[in-house]
Amino acid sequence: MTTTAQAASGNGSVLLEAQDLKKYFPVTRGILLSKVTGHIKAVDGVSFQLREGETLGIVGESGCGKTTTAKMVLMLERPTEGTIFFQGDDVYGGNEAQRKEYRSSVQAVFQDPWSSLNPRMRVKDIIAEPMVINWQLSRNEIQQRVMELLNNVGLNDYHSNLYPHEFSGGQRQRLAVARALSLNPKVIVLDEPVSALDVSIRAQIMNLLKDLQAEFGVSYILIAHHLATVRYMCHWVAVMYLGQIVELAPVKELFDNPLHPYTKALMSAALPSHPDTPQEEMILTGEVPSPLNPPEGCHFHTRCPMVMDHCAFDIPEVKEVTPGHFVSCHLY
Amino acid sequence: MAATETRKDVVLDVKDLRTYFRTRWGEVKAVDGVTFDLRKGETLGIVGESGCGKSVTMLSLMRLIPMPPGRIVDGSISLDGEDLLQLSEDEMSKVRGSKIGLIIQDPMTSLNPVFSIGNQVTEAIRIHQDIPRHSVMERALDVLRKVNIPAAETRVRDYPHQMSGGMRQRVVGAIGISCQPMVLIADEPTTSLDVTIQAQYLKLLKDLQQDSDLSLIFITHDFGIVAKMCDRVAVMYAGKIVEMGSVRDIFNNPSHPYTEALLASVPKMEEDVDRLYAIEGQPPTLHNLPPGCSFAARCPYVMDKCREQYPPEFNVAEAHHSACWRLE
Repeated sequence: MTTTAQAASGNGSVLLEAQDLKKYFPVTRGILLSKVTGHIKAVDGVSFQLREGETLGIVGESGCGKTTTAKMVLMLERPTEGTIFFQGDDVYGGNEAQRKEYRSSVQAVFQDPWSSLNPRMRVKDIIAEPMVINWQLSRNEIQQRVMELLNNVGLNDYHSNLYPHEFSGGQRQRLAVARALSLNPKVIVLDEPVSALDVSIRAQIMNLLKDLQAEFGVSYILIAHHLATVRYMCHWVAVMYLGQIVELAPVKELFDNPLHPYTKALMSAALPSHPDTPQEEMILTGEVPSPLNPPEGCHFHTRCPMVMDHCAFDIPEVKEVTPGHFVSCHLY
Repeated sequence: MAATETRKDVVLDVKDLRTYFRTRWGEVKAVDGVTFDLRKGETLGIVGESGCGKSVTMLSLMRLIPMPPGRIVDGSISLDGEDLLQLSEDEMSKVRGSKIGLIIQDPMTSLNPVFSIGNQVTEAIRIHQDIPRHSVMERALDVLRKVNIPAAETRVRDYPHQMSGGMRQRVVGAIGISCQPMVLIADEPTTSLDVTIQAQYLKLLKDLQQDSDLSLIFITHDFGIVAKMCDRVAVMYAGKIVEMGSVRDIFNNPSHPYTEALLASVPKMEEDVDRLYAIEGQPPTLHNLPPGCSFAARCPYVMDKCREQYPPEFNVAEAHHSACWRLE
């Protein structure tokens, strides 16, 4: 994706940039003399930029590669090809010290706050752990910082001595956010941060995340499947299908003027917010094909309602239709 | 006259249902006086957060409450004029699956992994319907085709793990409708499915309903599903129905503060919202409910009276009632 043009249309400076990221998982057969029989192309050439103080949403169905992309950003998976630049430096090119610094400036909040917090650690130790590992601080300083973080996420000092099981889901997600904030990160990857929570609690956490962004200027990469959440939280949205970004645009542009047939289908499949909301009936047939053997040409052509003859063998190029709005489809 | 006319269509009539559980923290009133009816061909949504009693209501209707610790303390559930709570266990197992069908949330666990799809779909037919053995499989294929399973003849020999989540949920749906029930209860049937698959499944349920005049109960936490699928809605909070009415009444004129707050706290896809309304605090724990209205602690309009006495139901409009002192 021509990243320079995307940069021109935004205002903040580029903090993190992914260039043509690919992640192939080998599929093997046999146990002893195992042979590689194919590759699952979980992520197949993804490029995007993340600007300071902004949120990039990545939407798509299960198996589209959004979580693998997030893992590569977090350095939990090494890309098969492609690179990630952080403040201009190639994160995989640096030495151990640089990588450690990168890891502390990119933090994560995961979907399920019941499994992402160690049940045998007290809250104060959970939140302090990243600082103990990465910073040389005295015990007092750490204690102070833990209290500060707890207050930032709307909890109280006395919560610091409790264990995770003593908290409700929403409060646990607040703890996970506090831990992610502890090292003053520049980027936080939010992997479905509210989908495990109750409806009335979701708004609390989304508002908290927005407030923290305004206060600390942190950037978010939000992985989500719920389009309304994305509209509320994000500045930019990338729509993924079978390991590729099919459309990328500023949030308002994407929702007002979706171009890719898959984006349109996702929007028409989303549930209405009122019974009288007019809805286009555009129900896709079939299911997402296996990433082990994706269709030739445009990956989406097997389910696309607007399919044309050459979609089956021509791979569509990424085009910038209006400034900042990228789509990869033969219709444009 | 008009009143008796509408009563005639009522398939399911639930009155003052109370299901309590005995726990070591005391008695938990999971469902505490729930009253609603369901008409022929109608879709009723029961909305609420986790722990509000919506799933226990559903299990009580099917008489699947584990006893002990649970027990249905009071109330009546009349299905087609027959009180299910008076039936013996044997009689009830004839009703389950034949008159009331059930689709539960997780298609990964609701099918048995060691039996083939065909075996599981025919089971209900074999038990409930008196048809010759050789035509049982034909009936099973019919229902599988009805839920749009491609190549049903070969798919019946498959096992659940050979199917995708969406296909499995279709099979669960096929079992649910295999004996042409009058009422089909769907407990969060699409939460584990992807968005585009969810859209397919909801459309399928609508088509099935139109074909056979089925009455549907949708148990969900998602107002989007309610907006898309339901005719009427009951909003539950802490074991009680706090507001009930037609879908349009509830969306256009929510009169219980909880309904209002829930609707305001959901982000919308069609418009930009600067800031979502967030309900303060947590839902109460059911074994230690405060006296008075259970929502009082989180309610922005709370009055002294709310903390003392639980509000009765006030009529807001025809067939739209809400339990809130503000309406007095």
